[in-house]
Amino acid sequence: MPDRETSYTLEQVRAVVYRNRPYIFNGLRHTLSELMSIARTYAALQKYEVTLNALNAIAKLLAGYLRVRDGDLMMPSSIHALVGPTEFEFDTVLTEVLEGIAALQKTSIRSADVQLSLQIIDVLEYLALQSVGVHAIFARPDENPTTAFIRAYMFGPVQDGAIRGLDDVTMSGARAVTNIAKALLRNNQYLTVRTSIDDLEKLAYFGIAQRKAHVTGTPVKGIAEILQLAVTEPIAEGHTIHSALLAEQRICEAELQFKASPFDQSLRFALGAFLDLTQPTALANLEGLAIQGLSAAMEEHNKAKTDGYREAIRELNDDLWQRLVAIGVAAAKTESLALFDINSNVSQIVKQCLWLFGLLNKTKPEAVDETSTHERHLHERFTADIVKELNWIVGATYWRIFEALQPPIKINVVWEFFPTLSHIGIQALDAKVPKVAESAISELKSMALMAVERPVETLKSAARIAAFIARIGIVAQKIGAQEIANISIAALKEFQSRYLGKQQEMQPEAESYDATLLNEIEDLKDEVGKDRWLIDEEDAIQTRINKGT
Amino acid sequence: MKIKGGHEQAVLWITRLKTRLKVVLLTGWYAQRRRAFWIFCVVVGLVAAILLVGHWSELDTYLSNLEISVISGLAIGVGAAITGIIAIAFSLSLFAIQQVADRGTPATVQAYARDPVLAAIYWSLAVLATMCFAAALLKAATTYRTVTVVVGLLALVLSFILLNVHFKRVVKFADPRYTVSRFYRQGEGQLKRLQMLRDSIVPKGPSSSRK
Repeated sequence: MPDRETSYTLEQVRAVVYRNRPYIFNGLRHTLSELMSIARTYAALQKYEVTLNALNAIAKLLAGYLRVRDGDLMMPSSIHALVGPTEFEFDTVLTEVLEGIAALQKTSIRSADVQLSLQIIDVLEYLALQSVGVHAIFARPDENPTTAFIRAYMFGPVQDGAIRGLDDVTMSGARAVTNIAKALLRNNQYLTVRTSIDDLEKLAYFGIAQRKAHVTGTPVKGIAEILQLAVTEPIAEGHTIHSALLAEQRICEAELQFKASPFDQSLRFALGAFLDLTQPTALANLEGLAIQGLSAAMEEHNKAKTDGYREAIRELNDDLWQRLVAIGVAAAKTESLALFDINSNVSQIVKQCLWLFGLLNKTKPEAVDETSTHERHLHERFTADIVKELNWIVGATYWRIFEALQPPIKINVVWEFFPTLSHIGIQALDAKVPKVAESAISELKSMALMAVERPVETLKSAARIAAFIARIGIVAQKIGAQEIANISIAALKEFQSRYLGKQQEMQPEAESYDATLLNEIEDLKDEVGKDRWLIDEEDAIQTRINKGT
Repeated sequence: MKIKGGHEQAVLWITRLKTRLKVVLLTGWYAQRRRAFWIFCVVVGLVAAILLVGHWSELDTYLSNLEISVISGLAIGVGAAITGIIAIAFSLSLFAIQQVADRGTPATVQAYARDPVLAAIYWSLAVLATMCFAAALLKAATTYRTVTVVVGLLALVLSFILLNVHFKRVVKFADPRYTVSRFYRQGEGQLKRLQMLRDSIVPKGPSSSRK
């Protein structure tokens, strides 16, 4: 008969010893309780240097305690929450102290004592960061119940502070949650990261509801930073990117419901971290980071890293068009300046993806044995995924946003869309992805036709939009992509007939009708004849490159 | 003209040198003041000891001329003074600590009552007082007279030093941050013990594994 005791791990033995002899911790509990009492007493007297000392001492002792209990700490995991007994067993020392700190935090929030509240947030952040490396006895490797527990005690009062309009508390809390989530992500504990993202999202809504851009901006920046980390240090099967993108999307939608006055900078402060290209955490910049990482990993022939970045890019691009549409539609309804940001992001993302497509084509592995054949298959599948998502982003985004615009439509709100799409079409032709160029033409046609029915300031604007189709067609003709040239001609014909029909419907008795499209095409033809057919600097650079090659 | 210029230059150099010396002395003094104080004390103590040993016989002769009651009176007086110091210093400091505790936390009074340094000061003063009273009972021999006087005066000086230490200690207790640091150190000790306990727990049998 085997000895029953031998089947336990060392951690389990320790846990049992501690559970059966709780008095072992009585000394430490007493010390912590004394320190808590000092913090409470001097908090009421607003002697912050004393409270800071006491709270720091508590945090350091608790961090030491967590280190001592590494591996045998009794904390319920997510599995316990789903199945098993509903009476959870939490570590008593940690719970007692956190209860005390949370009570002090609540009191400080109630009395609007921001200074003390910030001290407590700092202390709990420190403790949570220290707990990231501590293992609980029942925890799964992808979650950290101890950190989640500490964060929950911190977040409750922070949320209370947000409700009461204590901006410093909300912002500091958001920064603390962000730092905790980043540390967890570095430790691959993504399940707890996702709950942190949920917390940040909640804080952002408080900012939106109170119309405080700086309050909204802090959690938005926090989520964007988590996203940045998830993209630059990817982990397999984390779904953190999805979760963060979804949160950002929902926040953007909520914020964009409110109409901002012209030249109002609040939008930049609220959503800038996610949408403004000048900021490192903007969506397109994150795509750039991931692509850069993939390129470096491929150069190093680091398979694990390459797979990680592929997965990150796949997750980032997955349904990205829908997110852009959702944000864009919300922005269109309020004619927000965010439309400009969405356009810049789309332009940048497409440009980067086209570059990646070129790189992937150049580095396609040879299929010489089973492993390399598998690698080639993965490579091809990834390339196909990139093109598929690219097609969606180019072909399904703009017209949906355009459709959501409320008449009368102001031309300056959406004018950037058309040259961008034209550029995308030309770039796609250059990158030998005709499907994307086709999508760009189709998108431009849809919007031009929509502009016929719902004019953008004047009916002529529709023809001007259609003229951008001609630009793609001209480039296609020049480089010998006849199929695309034909598609563009067909699109232009369809538009022209609808345009004329609309004019006849409006003025049946008119002697002549406006031919803006034909005039625009005539101008382009002249430029082509003079070999000055370049549309702008970017096209010129592209052509120079083509000529060079 | 040249000599005048050279003189001015020399004056300038000397002034600069003096300034630098002052700076070095002042900053050096600040950084080393505690060590300098103890060195000074040791030197003074040594000088006093050398003087005492060197002039022991002269002191004996001088004290033999005095009446016996003066010597024992001195010893009793010093003992009584030390006892007085104990009573006054400790009750006054308790009063101050009590006030601090009223405004702050009772942990201060507790920490004060349990402080080993204060206990050591109390017992040292008590021993010194007892020694003085005991010295008063020594025989009337000349050497004993000198011993009694030396012990009495030394006890008095020591009690003043201890009083100073006591004062500084009480002031520390009046600062709640000190109480916090005491608890923190106490907690650190407890954590060390817990770590030792953790290391000592090993499962029975050879097949147990570590995660």
